[in-house]
Amino acid sequence: MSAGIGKIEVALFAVGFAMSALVLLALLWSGAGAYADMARAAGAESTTFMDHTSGGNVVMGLGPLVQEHRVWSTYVTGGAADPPAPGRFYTADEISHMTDVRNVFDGAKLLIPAGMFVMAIRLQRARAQSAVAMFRLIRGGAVASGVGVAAVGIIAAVAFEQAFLLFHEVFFPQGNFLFDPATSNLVRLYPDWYWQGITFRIGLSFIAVAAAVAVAASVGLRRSLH
Amino acid sequence: MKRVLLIEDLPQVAQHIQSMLAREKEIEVAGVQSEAEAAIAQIATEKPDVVMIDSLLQGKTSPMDIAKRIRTASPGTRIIMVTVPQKPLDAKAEAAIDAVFTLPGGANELAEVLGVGRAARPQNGLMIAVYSPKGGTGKTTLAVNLAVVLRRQGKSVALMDGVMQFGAVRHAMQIPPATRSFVDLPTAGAMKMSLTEVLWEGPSGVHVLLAPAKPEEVDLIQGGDIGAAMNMLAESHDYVIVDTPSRLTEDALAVLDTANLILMVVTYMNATVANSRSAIDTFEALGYKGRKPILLVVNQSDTPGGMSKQAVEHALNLPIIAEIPTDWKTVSDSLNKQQPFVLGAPQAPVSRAVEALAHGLVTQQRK
Repeated sequence: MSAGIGKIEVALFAVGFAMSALVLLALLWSGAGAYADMARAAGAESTTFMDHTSGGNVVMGLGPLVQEHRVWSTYVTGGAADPPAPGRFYTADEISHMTDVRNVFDGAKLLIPAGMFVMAIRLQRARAQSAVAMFRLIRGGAVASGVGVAAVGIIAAVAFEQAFLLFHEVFFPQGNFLFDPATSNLVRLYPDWYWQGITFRIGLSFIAVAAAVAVAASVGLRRSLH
Repeated sequence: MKRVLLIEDLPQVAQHIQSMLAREKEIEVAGVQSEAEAAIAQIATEKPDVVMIDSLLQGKTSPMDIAKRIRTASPGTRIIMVTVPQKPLDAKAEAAIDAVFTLPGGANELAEVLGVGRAARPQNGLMIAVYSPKGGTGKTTLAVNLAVVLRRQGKSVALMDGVMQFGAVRHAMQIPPATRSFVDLPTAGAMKMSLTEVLWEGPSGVHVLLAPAKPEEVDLIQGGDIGAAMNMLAESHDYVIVDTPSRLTEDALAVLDTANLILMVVTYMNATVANSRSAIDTFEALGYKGRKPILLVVNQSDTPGGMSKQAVEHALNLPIIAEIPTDWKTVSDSLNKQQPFVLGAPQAPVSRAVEALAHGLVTQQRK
């Protein structure tokens, strides 16, 4: 990079940008509306749950599924203090796993201010040099983060199962994330289409945001040069 | 038809519940609101029979606070909270709600919480004569509050003031003085046509048929008309509660003859028990024994110095199904404000006791 903006500066800015934006987008896409859209897109507007109290099956339409998801998403993103009650639909192991997911989210939420802090420091340094340097940093960081997320997205698309497993092994090293699809309602609530859908949405919206930031920075850069 | 308003912020869930409600013949969906303020405004104006609130509703006001505000705005509206198994709710523990519907839930569960369907209303409604052979036992107060509680449980309820001279029901509720009464009903066949025009419906949602305002008008009423009115009310209501005169006059006997069940209000005082014994003897002479249940309710049950429960049951040879504790302040406040205490002070022990009585009656009817 020219005008005093080194690759390390750009890389640090890109990491800060990715940290903040990815977590924010993950929170955004965790909502009930997104779940309903993904279910519709996958043609999965109903499924069967096992009733652990009676041993029978219960047909779950889209409405009840969305409500189930809302309870879980509210809990894991910190909107509710207490974990949902086990019993009819979920086992203690499933509740325990979702408590771990909440802990991961609690940690991830710290990345938002941390990423913003990293970006602010880099921006301040670049701005001290010149407005041109600052815009180049923003443009370079946005492009780099967008390319990086796109690369990870392509890998995930080619080998989603391996990527999904790797993700869980990194974030849940205790290994309590494997459930039997034949009996687990959590797996039925969140089948492959959900993970593929949310990964695709987060990735695509991040690339869109990064592109928008890069374009805005280019416009600012052009004005500064003139 | 029962009008149901749904408060739900997720379109997919609203659609699901609406499709379930659409299968109920006795239900009409009055609307779906996604925001608390708009919902409460509609409820205050339209006073729907039932409101269903999503317990996961997101917004500035919590679902339970919405329920409390609805209870104030429309006390007669049945409030059902919709939840999911992992967020269990207990309707008995929450004064602001009447029932809980847990998704995904089936049609039977929904019909039960709505208070509709074959299970909820087998044939004609149950006619309950609230009777006491002694004045001052709280018979009228109990009849009014029992009617309101049953209405809150989703039942359609008519309250008839059977005390045709100096009836007190009109003073226990905020009923306008010009409200029409029994004396405005035509006799015989024409009565059915005019019945709905004479019934008064207040915020509690109970349909009230008043006794005449003027004592001399009692002469215009015949015993046969009283029984006919009760039967007609039973055709269109789940419960007909009749405040019955203490003296066994023609009008009192008309009520008691027609009723399916006599709820006898007693206290643990000797005079009340002695008069009740005489009344029960008369009922036996009239052939009520084995034909209609007579159930005892003890009012002011914690008044010291009275007879014991066992002694009263032994003396009257009938079981006591409920004991209502003394609460002079709550009851006198309620009478002075003309607001049933089950609405004004739903958490008071006296209100809880009336609720338990209503629950017992509903359970007994199902059996």
